[in-house]
Formats: sequence, structure tokens, C-alpha cells
Amino acid sequence: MHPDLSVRIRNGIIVTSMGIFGIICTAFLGIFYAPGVDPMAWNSPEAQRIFYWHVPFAWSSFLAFCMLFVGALSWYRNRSEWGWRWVSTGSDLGLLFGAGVVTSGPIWGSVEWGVPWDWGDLRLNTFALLTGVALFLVLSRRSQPDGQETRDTLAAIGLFGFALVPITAVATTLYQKRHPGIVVVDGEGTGLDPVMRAVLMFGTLSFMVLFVGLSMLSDSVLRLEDTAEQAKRRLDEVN
Amino acid sequence: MSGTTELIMAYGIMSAIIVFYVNHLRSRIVFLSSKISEFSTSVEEE
Repeated sequence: MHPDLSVRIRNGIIVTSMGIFGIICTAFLGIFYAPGVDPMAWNSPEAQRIFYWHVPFAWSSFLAFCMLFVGALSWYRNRSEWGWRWVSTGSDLGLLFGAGVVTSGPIWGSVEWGVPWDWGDLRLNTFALLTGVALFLVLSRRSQPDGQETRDTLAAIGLFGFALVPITAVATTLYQKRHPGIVVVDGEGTGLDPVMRAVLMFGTLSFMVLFVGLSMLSDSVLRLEDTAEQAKRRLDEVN
Repeated sequence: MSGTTELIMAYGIMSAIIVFYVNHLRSRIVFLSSKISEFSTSVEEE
């Protein structure tokens, strides 16, 4: 293996490990240290502690979709290999973090709202669609032969799918039905306890570190796939 | 109904998703590294 690639993988493992350590600390702080919510105002006050991972998962998925968007633009502009690697990594991580959000959200909703899903809520449904786009991209990449046509098609879907990101992000501001509104920004009837905010911010930072580590490892896997393909081609030529 | 079971379930599922992906990356790195070594050795022998 190329020495540069070994260094990339080693750095990826270090950053990922730091991120995993941070998110484990966040879970412990969220469950055992952060203050609880008013039991009179919430139906299931303990389940509210899900949000110390649920919210950073959602923000990380938005970051993944931004990565997918930038990669798709770069692929269209220059047919750059790094652009395609960003599309691949962005769709993988978009699915990973999106899946975490669309499973943990309904678990909380089932005890807080009494129903796991609301088909009339804009935030819920646009986010599910966004995760569906990521799932489609991941499955298509694995099932279709790799070539310029496949890459063009999937990058186009990634570009259009990104339009759902701003819609999902502002959905609770423009059209709030069931999903709670923005709590990080203080406003009338919103805002967070300082300790809860600190734990959430620590969690967000930890998830960002994990995101960077996983991106580095995913990028290394794609580079390894290229190297293996080239080595196989050389072997075929020799034979 | 305080939601403790749901809290544990949600953290469990989110952890499993991360563990699954990290393990997927680990196994791909191991598999591809061994393939590259195998191909390189074969080319040298030829």
C-alpha cells in the first residue's frame, strides 16, 4: 500500500476514535448529568434525553448532504475524482446519520406525541425524503457499473436532492406542526437551559469530529478501491 | 410513562448504526489491503 494512504488511514482511525469517545461522553452527560425537563410540561421527560444524539445526528446529516452537493458540483465542473469521492462519502454518511434520525425520532414521538410519525409534518417528511435520496444513491452506486453515465446520473440526483436541505432546515420555522421548533437560538417561548445547551454543543462538536474521521476513512476506502483496480489491471496485462 | 425504555432503545439503535458503519469501513480496508498485496506479489512473481 502507498505510504500516504497508510498515513491517511491511521489519521482517520485516530480522529474517528476521538469522535467516538466524545459521543460516548455526550450520551453519559445527557443521560446522567444534564437537567431533566419539566415533567408537567412533557409526556415522557426521560425520553427527551434522546435529543443529545438526535440533534447532532441531524446536523451531521446536513453536513453530509452539503458534502454530497459540493462533490456533485465538482464532478460536473471538472469530472474530478475527488468530487466523485465526496459524492460517495456524502451519500454514505447522509444515509448513516439520516437513518439514525428517522429511527430515533419516531421512538421519541411514540411516547411524547402518542404516534411515531405525522404524515402532515413538513420537517418529518422532507427529512425522510432526504434520507430516501441518500439510500437510493448508496444502493445505486453498489448495483450499477461504475462509469461516467452512472456518475452523471447519481450526481444529478444528489444535486436536486440537496434542495430538500434548506426546506428541511427551515421547516419548523415556516411550518411548525408537531416537530419542536429551534431551541438553540433564544427567543420567545424557546431557548435551552445553559447546562443542556453546553452538553448539546459538546455533542455537536464530538459528532463533527466523528464526521471528519469517518469521511477520512471512507475516502481512504475509495482510494484503496482505485489502487486495487489498478493493481488488478497491471496483473491482467502481465498475464 | 417516563420514556426510559425508549431512551435506551434510541441510543442502542443509533450506536448500532455507527458500529455497523465503522465495522464496514474496517472490513473493507482489511479486504482491499490484502487484495492489493496479493496482486502486487503476483505481478512481481510474473
